[in-house]
Amino acid sequence: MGTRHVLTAIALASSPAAANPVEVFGLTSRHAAQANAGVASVDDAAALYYDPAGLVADPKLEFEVGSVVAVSHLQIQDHFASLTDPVGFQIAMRAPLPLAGALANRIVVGIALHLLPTEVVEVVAPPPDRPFYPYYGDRLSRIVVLPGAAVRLDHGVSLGFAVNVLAGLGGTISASEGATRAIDSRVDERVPTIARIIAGAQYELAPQWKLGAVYRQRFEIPFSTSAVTNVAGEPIDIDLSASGAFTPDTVVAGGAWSDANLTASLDLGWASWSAYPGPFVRVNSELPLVGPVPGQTPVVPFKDTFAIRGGVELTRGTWVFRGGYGFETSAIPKSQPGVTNLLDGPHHTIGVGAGWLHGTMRIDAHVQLQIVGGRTITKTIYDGTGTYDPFTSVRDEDTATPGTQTSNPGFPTLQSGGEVLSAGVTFEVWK
Amino acid sequence: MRRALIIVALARTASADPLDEIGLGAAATGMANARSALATGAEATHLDPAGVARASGPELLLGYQYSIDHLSIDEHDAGVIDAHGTTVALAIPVALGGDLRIGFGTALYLPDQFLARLQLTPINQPHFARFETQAQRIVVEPVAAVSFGNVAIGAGASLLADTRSRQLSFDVGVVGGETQGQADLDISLPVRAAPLAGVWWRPHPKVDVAATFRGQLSLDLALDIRANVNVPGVVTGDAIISLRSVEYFTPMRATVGAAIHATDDLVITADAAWEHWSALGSGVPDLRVLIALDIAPPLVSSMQPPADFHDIVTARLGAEWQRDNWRFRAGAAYLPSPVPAQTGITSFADGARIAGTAGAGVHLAPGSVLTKPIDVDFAVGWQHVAHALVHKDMDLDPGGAYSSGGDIIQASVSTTVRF
Repeated sequence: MGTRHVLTAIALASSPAAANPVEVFGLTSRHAAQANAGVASVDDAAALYYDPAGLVADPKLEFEVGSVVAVSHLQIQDHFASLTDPVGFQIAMRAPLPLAGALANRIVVGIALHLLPTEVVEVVAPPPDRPFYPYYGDRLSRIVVLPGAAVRLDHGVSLGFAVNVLAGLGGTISASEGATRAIDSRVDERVPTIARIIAGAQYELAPQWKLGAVYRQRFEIPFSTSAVTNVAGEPIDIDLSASGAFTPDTVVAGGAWSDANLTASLDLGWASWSAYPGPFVRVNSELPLVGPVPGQTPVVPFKDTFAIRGGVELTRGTWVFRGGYGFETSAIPKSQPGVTNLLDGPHHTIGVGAGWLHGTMRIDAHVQLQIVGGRTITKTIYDGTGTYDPFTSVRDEDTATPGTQTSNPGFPTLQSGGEVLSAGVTFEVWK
Repeated sequence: MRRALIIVALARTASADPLDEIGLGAAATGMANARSALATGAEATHLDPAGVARASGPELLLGYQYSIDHLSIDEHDAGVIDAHGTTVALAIPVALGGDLRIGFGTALYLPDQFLARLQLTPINQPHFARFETQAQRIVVEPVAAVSFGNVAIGAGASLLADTRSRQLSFDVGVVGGETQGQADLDISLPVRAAPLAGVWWRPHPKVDVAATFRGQLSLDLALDIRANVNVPGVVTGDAIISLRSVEYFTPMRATVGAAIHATDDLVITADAAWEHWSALGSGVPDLRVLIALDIAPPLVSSMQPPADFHDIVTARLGAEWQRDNWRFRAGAAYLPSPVPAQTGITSFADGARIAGTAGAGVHLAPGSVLTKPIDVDFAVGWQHVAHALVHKDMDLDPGGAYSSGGDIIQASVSTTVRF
């Protein structure tokens, strides 16, 4: 704060990085190769994410294990954002309950996991002026745990649900002088369970046609800590809160056509990004001699996104070939004349892959390219008219010095865009 | 500008693995957790990893358990919250031909209220350090095993996560004549693991023996909150609040167990475990407030007395009687306290425990409804924490004293589904 010179290079070097969970890079190579399309066609343990109703589409005892790796070529001005957690491991399994008679193969349970090599989760809430890609930020640096179940009803209808489970962190640290001037302090930090629903349905319209729809509930990892300290009669209260790993309410619906050797699917999706509170820390503090300190958190008008995805899977003997394409609009405003430097653009996803069948096992591999459209952010200097809005302009931080003095790394312009390449292998065995 | 450092002594929690207290599944609860030599399949993921490879097929154990704590300090409720949560265990054995089998599995315990709770109270305040949060943490134990004939070995890890602030800063300054604050944070939960290992051997058709080992585990908390203030003419400098704590200290543990099949329908079991509580160290983390602002805070010296916990050996006995498709179980345990006499500044309330348990289960055989058998088990348990009256050292706290003790009631229900 205060007068500073432009320090763009330092800010860019510390931009948040990403891992590769299922929301962005897909669950298992089979579906990542189809650009994550297939709410109507999914029929394996990966249904726990794509559409839990698909768990019961082709009931069998099944176990899948794999890995996915990603590299980034996303531009931030003349630098590139790197990935600090480029490797993830995926496990998915399902099993029909051992029921006989009319209930045989009608209820299937399963669990899917995306695991990071070294951590459970990382919540990153940068200062408002730091340039970074929220879509590839800390929402990717988390493990994913999806237990679920599905039931097959009559008339070609199947219903399923899964629970998206993780943890948050919140609590209070308090310290103050007691009656004897000794410090009386208490700490109560809790790691609460965060659980959100994924619910889906599939309907067999005709022998070769299926419809599917899935709803994924908004998910975020809350972090808050309140340090309430009173020293020598002076309050030192620091109250910080943030939401990490945000994924909005999402609805996806689609259709699929299949015969003995070919499956084609098409999905349409909507995500409620307009409800995103933003990636920034919310503060409410009181410091000695300074008194209450209001936070300066810009209100960003995030936009709902729309997506279309298509995928095909072709079987030829013991080989399976797959491909897919997806397009998703950006939730991030294209124009950011104020302090924020949130980087994004329309997303194009292209996937290809292949699998090799041997008895009751299959090995799949895929490559997926995500292209983020290029953008240029241009800043506007606050002219002193009206109430200052940190989203619409930046301040001249030292009006006594000629010219514009601002530490915002996006001033006067900031270029973004690029590609993220991911690849993976999955081994599947069933009985 | 003056600087001062406040160091505050707090008492941390130390506990056993939540699944050691009540058991993974109601069969273990009903036999006071004395099943390390008897467990196979899903329940073996926690009791003895070697047993995972001995299951006849894939198994899923799903259970729920509840503990009601009636613990008191000075005849008042000690404020220990009831512990309740869900247990899930999965075992996938694979036959490789002949007597050779391998198996994979995972045990999970998910508390209802939160996955973990970090609760630190002033060091001299009497509290049940071993019970306050003992069952309030998640347990994740992936394991693998191999068996050949009458011998099996297994290994795995007990996983937990630390909490660390890589960046947690709050900058206050003046922009355009207005005092403003902005913050950034980077909090991560890195994984940490303790090794698990187990062996199982059947030296005689009527005798099974087992031995298990689990390494020490804890949750390390490191939160550093930095406030950088730059208000020219008013105040400039830093305020740093730093918290360091080692929570959920779970000691290294070695267990030996035996199961004797006295008759075709009666099995007697026994487990003895050594727990390395003396590794707890000081038992006291610290909260530090570093002030580099224009104020004069007091300076309080740090107090980090050693906890001086001692190692203990626990003993558990169990019995299971089978009649048709029903099984009836009972168990008893003696669990000594690792806490030394609290005559100094620390006030860890604790006491030796005796436990009695009972349970039953039904084996639902395949038929017109089931293609594979399902077990449904339930159990109840009672633990009595011995009453203790602590008198403080007259030099440290003249006339200081407190009493503690109480009971813990446990209930558990579970089902094991085979695929």
